[in-house]
Amino acid sequence: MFKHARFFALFVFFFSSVSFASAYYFLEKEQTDSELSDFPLVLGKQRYFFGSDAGCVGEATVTVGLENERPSIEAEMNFRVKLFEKKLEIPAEFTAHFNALNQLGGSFFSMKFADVVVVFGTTNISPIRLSLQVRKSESLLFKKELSLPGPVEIRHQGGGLYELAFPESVQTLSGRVPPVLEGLLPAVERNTGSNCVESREYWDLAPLLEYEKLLPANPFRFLGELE
Amino acid sequence: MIRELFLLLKPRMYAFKNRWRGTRRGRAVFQDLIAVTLLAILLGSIFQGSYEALQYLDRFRSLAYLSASHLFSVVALGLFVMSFLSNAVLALGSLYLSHDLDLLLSSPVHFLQLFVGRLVQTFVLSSWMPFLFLFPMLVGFGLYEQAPWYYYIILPLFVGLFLLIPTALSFIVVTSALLVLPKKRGRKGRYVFFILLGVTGYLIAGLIKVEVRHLTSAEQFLRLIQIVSLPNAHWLPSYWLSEILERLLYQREIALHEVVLLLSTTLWLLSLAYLFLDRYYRRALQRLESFRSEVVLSGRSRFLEFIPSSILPTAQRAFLEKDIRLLVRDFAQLIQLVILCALSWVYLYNLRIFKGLETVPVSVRFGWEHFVAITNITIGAFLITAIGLRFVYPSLSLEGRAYWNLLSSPLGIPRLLKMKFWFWYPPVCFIACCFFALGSVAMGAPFKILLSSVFAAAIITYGIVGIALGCGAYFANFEWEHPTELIGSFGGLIFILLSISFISLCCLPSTLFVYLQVRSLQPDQFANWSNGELSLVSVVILVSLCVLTTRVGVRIGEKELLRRMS
Repeated sequence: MFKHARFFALFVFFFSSVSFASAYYFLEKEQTDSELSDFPLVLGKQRYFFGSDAGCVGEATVTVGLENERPSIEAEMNFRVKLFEKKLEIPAEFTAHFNALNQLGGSFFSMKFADVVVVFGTTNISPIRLSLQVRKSESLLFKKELSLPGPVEIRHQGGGLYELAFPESVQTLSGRVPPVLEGLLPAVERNTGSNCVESREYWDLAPLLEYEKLLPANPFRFLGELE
Repeated sequence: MIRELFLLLKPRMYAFKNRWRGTRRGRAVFQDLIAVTLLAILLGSIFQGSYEALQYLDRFRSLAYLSASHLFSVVALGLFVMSFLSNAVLALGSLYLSHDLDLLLSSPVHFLQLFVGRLVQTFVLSSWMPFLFLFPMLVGFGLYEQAPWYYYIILPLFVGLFLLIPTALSFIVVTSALLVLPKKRGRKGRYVFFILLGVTGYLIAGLIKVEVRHLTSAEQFLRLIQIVSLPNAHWLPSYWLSEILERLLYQREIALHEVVLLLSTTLWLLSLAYLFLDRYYRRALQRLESFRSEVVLSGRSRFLEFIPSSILPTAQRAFLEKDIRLLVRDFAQLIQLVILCALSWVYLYNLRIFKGLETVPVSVRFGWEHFVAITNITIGAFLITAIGLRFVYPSLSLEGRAYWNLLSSPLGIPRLLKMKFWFWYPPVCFIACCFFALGSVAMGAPFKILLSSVFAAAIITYGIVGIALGCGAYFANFEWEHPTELIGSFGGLIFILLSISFISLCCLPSTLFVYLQVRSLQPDQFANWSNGELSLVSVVILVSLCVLTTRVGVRIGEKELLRRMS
């Protein structure tokens, strides 16, 4: 052993260098690939477009602000949906506030179609308390409260670009969404929705409703009220 | 094969075994009991503190989420830095200043045996104390978060791996530093010293003058917490360890990448350290020997002559001159002094963030001012403990075999200890006063608080130097292999335990004293209370406590030295 100590040390040196490099590469890849959302946010006001197979089905104006070094997101959205042969324009609003540690402190989402109001809000940092309510003319149609592991963080990627980072358990949860269902959701594009001016299409919710039983607590039940 | 590899550790292991082998009776049992009790109290406090810290963070959760791993990553990062510095000093001692090196290098011992022996020795001496203090913290986290049983087995192994990194790193850094050391002491060395001094002065000046961004709200204070508590760089070993802790604690999937990174970094540094030392060890040793041999023996032999003999009698003067010369020539002591100064500077520099306290809302400012002033005193007291441990505690043992020469001089043991005390008290007091005063200036504290802090520094230093000297005399070891091993000894631990107990006791009157000073600055608050009387009482308690501690400490050490002679 003593005779070959140098060779042994050299072998350990190269072996550990390779394992370090590969482990670090995978760690970095894991951090950048899976933890961050695919939805980059830009400081200031930006327009986004929602595209489905049919074409452009909605627009959103997202404002990422930085007040006292605390990031905030405000969004105004407009969706065009088709349900039971009805064509609807659905306005929606979303607000999210982050603390100085860039952790999501609270968020609020509301959308209204006909006389149905869908409200979705989160409070607390970890665990995140999530509340979903659907009301029609002051009467509660659906209510669900959930507790999700937190925190959700907004990370500055440099150059005024921000991305949301979700805890691993939330990623696992989102990974369980069937790919078929994921394909039915509209994709988000930034500043490239020029076709929205030319073709204002409607997002058909009927295929989505077929999968409602896959989701917990039957959240789309209220849509029947529209009929 | 393994036995041969650890050949050089055998004498150490036998010495350790024999210390506990014989039946211990009477006084020895009583001393052990005191040590065990103090240790149990300290470990219990760390456990309780970490448990309560998590409870506190839970209450804080609606404002910000900070998990156990966040808290642990801060501790781990601090531990890593401290451990590296401690390892650097010990590596210098064990690799280059040890007395047995001449024998070992001329004997048929393979370099791998020498390397492994010194590595394990440095690792054990530098890590046993951090490990001991970290363990109750990890248990506190585990119990609070209801961790699985394997958490308590696996995590200590990773902590061990983590602590091996600074040991291996220190071997490489110390050897590299010695390779660039000038061959002779002379102008070049002096220039380097003055440049370093100039840079330090400039930084201290900057510390006082520089404008810092004020804390304007609780939210900005949160950002401050983020800076301090989220060392989230993926390349830091402390990050890997805290990730491993989190996964184990919350029973999540194993952090495979972090485990591989920790393991491969440890192996990488160990192999690199071996290869590097195998190539450059002897050259570095020669460089150091050449540097050390250039001791200037000429020049003014009596540089304290200007002090009249009515103030400083001849025997005492000779003794002080000897100690000053030895301190200046001692390479290990100088390195430690530089490290401590660097650490103090980092702390003071970071204290500037509290300069903006005046912008904090009045309703919470009073509490914050009080908290910051007491924190400054406590951290300052720990700095004095560090100085005491590295300089005052080993000062008697460092006399080595020359101790008997001192005993044959006209100085008796009581006077010898008194001289040692007065040799160390003024410089340590000066450093402590500067540290406390700069801390107060950095925080933007009023002049009254600055004066109170300086007064507290002078008094607390008196007590800690007394304890250090007493412990140093009681646990005196004149047969050390290298001077730095004295710091990591059992006596060193006892000194730390006693010093922490003393600081805790001192904190009560100090807290009261500073509290009264801060309160007197608050407009129209508690106007009817007599601050003067209460301040006087707290000062009297503080002074009495320090004087009593020093007297008792030195007396016990003195008795032990006399007992050894008889």
